[in-house]
Amino acid sequence: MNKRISKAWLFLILPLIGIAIFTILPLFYGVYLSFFGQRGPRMWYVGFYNYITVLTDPSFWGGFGLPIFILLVQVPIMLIIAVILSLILDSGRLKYPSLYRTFFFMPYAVPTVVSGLIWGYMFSSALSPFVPLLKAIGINVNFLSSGSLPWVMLNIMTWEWAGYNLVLIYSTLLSIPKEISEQAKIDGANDFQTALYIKVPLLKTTLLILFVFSIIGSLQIFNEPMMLSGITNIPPNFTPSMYVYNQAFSYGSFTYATTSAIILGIIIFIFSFFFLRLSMKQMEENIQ
Amino acid sequence: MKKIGLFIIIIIASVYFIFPFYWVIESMTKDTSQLFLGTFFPESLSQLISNISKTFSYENGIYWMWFLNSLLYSSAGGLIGTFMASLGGFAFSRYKFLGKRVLFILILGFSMVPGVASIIPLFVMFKNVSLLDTYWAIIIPTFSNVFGIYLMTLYWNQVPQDIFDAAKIDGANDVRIFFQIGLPLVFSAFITLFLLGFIGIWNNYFLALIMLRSSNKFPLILGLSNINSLIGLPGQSSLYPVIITGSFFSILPLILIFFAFQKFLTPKIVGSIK
Repeated sequence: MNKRISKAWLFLILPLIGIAIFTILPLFYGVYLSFFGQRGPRMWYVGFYNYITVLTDPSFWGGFGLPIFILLVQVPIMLIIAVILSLILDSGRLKYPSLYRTFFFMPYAVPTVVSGLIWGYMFSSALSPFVPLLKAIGINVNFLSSGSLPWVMLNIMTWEWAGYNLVLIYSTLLSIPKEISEQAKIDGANDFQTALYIKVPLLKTTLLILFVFSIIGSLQIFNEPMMLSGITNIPPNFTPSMYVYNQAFSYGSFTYATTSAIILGIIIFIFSFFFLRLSMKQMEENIQ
Repeated sequence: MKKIGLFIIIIIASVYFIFPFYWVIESMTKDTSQLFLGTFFPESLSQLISNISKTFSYENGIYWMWFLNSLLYSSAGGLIGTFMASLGGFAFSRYKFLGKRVLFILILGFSMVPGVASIIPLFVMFKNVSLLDTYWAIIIPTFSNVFGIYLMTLYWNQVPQDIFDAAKIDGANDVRIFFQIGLPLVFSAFITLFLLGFIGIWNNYFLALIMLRSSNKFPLILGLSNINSLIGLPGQSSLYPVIITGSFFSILPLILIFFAFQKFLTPKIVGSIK
């Protein structure tokens, strides 16, 4: 027994050193830095001053406007689209469902930087194929004006992630035993009723997990707006991550940026923890 | 009638998800002035060839450099991260030891800490030890793979213990068991984690953006975003075809990986339905 204890550490030592140096150490170092004021290489102790400044900075909280919009508008739209499309693929009424699934899933293979770039171009007044089309029927739009930017983001995020969500929802649907929906049919339910009253309720756990994933993801949006900023004006606090980045690399205040990153990290961690709780039961089974 | 309705919905959705791919490809056949017309149809094959050669010869062929850098970062990082995850997962799955439960929960907890919270202190750390703007700055953070360890533990658990016990009786030591018997048994999980790591690093913009300064060390997507930031400047609109063509070749390896390894990469929520 004693011999076995040491053998486990033989395998754990390298991965644990990696985690200690590149995950745990930066976190503690970050907390340490957050108690200092800084200008260039000069640093001085300021206690909780940075925390108070971040928490009372309207421009920090302004960055949460986009994630909240994404969460309240984009995520529901995306999940509804994903559920409807997977129900159709699962209905067995169309040929080649896995071909369509591949089509829907393909955007997931595109780096978010590139999808931000491509959609940015397709919406820019210079290159857009849609603008001339709309002009022909008398509509003049500037997709990249500040008012429509959230909708541009909504579109990009939906394009990127609907397929990923769909694949997970569809595979949950496939795991529902066929007898359940057949029994419903015998009881006189039509396909639509079976989908709405039998299948959708069984998606509850999957949808909950996907929703938590989306919260975590939307709080960290960074790449797409950075790409859009090459072709239009994006405010430096368009998202919380952009606020953090610009504090550090546009204004050079690394300790202040670290503080705002810690606060953002805590907010994200709370949502992730919720996910941890969800998967806790399963984890218990796996560590016996 | 109903079937046609469902078919139409699926076709509209397919067009929406495919369109940007189509747009990139047809745009690669256009020069800047043709791009500005905003039409939906391809122009000429010779323009396509000229765009490709313009992209790969941009700034004395730096695009090649970026491409190779991305390959290096993604393969090295993917391999290191997956190997770390295999080691850790093996330990958690195969051995009983003091503090195992606490350690596992801690690791799972750390996998929930978002990258944004640790990346700026990591930047300051790397600055202090002069690792900024080196290949190492992108590669060595992959030694920490918390979520991978969790996933790999699940995979190792699926391997029957008897196989290891039998090897043990035959006198193989633990390290040999891990390499010669264990790893081949979790080969498909190893490939899955490697591919996910590869793709994750290929797409990791934030880390490269803050760690790298010299453009000859950039990965592809940082290079692309760098050209994109020039596009707003006067007289730079001739760069549009370079960026669009460059985007295509930055996606191509990933699309190929997806089609070749689709069965390894289909996402799963383990045990979401009981």
